[in-house]
Amino acid sequence: MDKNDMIVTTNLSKSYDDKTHVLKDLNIVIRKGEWVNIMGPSGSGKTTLLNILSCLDRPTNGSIIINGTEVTKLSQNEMAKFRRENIGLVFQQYHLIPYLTALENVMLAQHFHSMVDEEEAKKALELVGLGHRLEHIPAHLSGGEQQRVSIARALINQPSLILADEPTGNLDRTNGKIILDLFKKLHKNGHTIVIVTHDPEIGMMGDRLIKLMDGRTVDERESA
Amino acid sequence: MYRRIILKSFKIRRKQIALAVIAVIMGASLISALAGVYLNIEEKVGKELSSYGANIIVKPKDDGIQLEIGGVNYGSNKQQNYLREDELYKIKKIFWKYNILGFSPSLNTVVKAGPKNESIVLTGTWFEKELEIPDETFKTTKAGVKTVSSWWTVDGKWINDEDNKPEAILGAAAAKQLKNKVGDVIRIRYNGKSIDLKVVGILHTGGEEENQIFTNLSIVQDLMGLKGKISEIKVSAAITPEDEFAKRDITKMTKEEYDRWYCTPYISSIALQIEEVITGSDAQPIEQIASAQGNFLKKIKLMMMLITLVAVAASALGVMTAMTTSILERRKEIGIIKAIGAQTSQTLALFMTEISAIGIIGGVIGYGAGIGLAQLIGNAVFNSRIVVNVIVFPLTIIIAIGITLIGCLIPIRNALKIDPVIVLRGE
Repeated sequence: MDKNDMIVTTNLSKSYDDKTHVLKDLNIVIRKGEWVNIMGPSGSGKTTLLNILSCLDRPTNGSIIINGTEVTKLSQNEMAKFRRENIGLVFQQYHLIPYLTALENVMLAQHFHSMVDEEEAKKALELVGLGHRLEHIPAHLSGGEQQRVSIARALINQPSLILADEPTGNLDRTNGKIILDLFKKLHKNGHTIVIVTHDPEIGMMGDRLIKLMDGRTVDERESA
Repeated sequence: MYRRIILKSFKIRRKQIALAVIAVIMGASLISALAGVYLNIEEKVGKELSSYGANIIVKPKDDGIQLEIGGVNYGSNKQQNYLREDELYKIKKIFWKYNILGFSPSLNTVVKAGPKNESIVLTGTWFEKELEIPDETFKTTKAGVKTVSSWWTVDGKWINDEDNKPEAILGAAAAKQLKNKVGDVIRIRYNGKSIDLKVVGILHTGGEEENQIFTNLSIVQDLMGLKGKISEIKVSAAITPEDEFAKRDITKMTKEEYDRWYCTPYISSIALQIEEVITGSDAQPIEQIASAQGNFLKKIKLMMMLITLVAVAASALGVMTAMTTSILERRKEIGIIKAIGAQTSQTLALFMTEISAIGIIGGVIGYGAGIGLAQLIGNAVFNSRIVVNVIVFPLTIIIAIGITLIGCLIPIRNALKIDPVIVLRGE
């Protein structure tokens, strides 16, 4: 493994009940600072792969090294600790706590990481253009704004890796563009980004596109 | 941050939290009410049980062989000793003074009475005397036969201790034997002296006392030439049931053990404390009555504990139902906090803070309600106020948190098992 590698998977497989094989011997290398998009039809295994890379799920076989740590050997609690220190997650459904304000949702991630710093949380929301919506609860924010809160939450603990599952999937074109511009900015600042998407337009962005089909890599190429 | 989360989470889940708090209130109120009553029960039930009569008999110490027939001491083969009337107040100054429910001094002898000069027992006693107790907050206490034998009834009227008139109450059998009724005057002869007593009442006791004549203690003392002397004190004391520890030989106890024994209202320790204050006395428990009282108390306490256990279980079940619904509704939220990096201990801490808050809120309200309930029980059952011990408050709060914790065990275990991958996928 190269010290510039952020993610290295070796013969990564995931199956359920020994019958349904979702991922089959995946060997992927993602370098530090790289933006990689993963595409594929429904059921191709891309969300399962993202869950395993997020340390939310475990593979059935194979190994994953993230930022130099073999994560498959970590306990459940160690995986949670590794996740909050190294990975920022962005979900298609935003997954914000509905009764907390935008600011509190970001502070919650700080709370579980180390300690709450309200000023830092405000800066993160200002960075995603929500400095004026700090005290709004998710129900009073648009989908694009909720996704921006979710990105601010993902960034607050300064993770080296950002994993996003269909981050613009629920957004209109204008809001989708705002989110993608944010990702571009993050990439420019040196973050490693992995996005799972159906959107061919996003697939064209970033450094590389990996296509999955039936749990295997069928195409891997530099983005245009 | 926990405070913000919990306050806001409570606000949006008002219904579930209210249900959980109500369940805790119900349990906590029952517990604080029962604990309040439990800590008063010895005194309250002790008073109720005083109708069993005296459970300690205090007599003069006498090395000789006593001859006693029908409750009357006919003396011994040695010089008869007596107790001092002026020391009686000290019975209400012992360590367990509040457990002394009543006492009655007496001095008796066999006299000749009536036109046929029949031999009969004359007992001088107090009926319901107001006795001053120096240096005590309660200042006075009532003592006399009415305080230890509350079931005695009189046709006519009781003798007033303060009047000191030459009056008598005849036992029902004695009245029959002497053919006397209320209003008659009866002549009593003793050692060449005689005194006329007006019959003011006929006494019904259901016991051997119905064969005796009762009058003021001072009259018998004058007749016998034994001013200020008494031959017996009957004491009714609220006691705790004797356990194995109480039955141990006190001469073989360590200092700590002796202190513990002395400071527990066992009948034997109260008897010893009476002996310590009444000169030349020998205080003996009446085992039959003492053990009946002790067993009755033991059964009442056991029943209260069982009711408390049922209350705790019912309350915990209520909390469990409310919290299970609440956690089911919060599966996604739990999935999110796990996904953003909350470890098991942090998720647990969040729930524990919530549980403590529910327990404390429910406990405090339940305590207040329980005190009210205790007063209702006190008034309805014992016809008196329940004095709430300070220990009841912390005890209620701790048990309330315990109830919430027990009720939340299964829901929390389920919450900790939530797989964020599954819930965030919307399944």
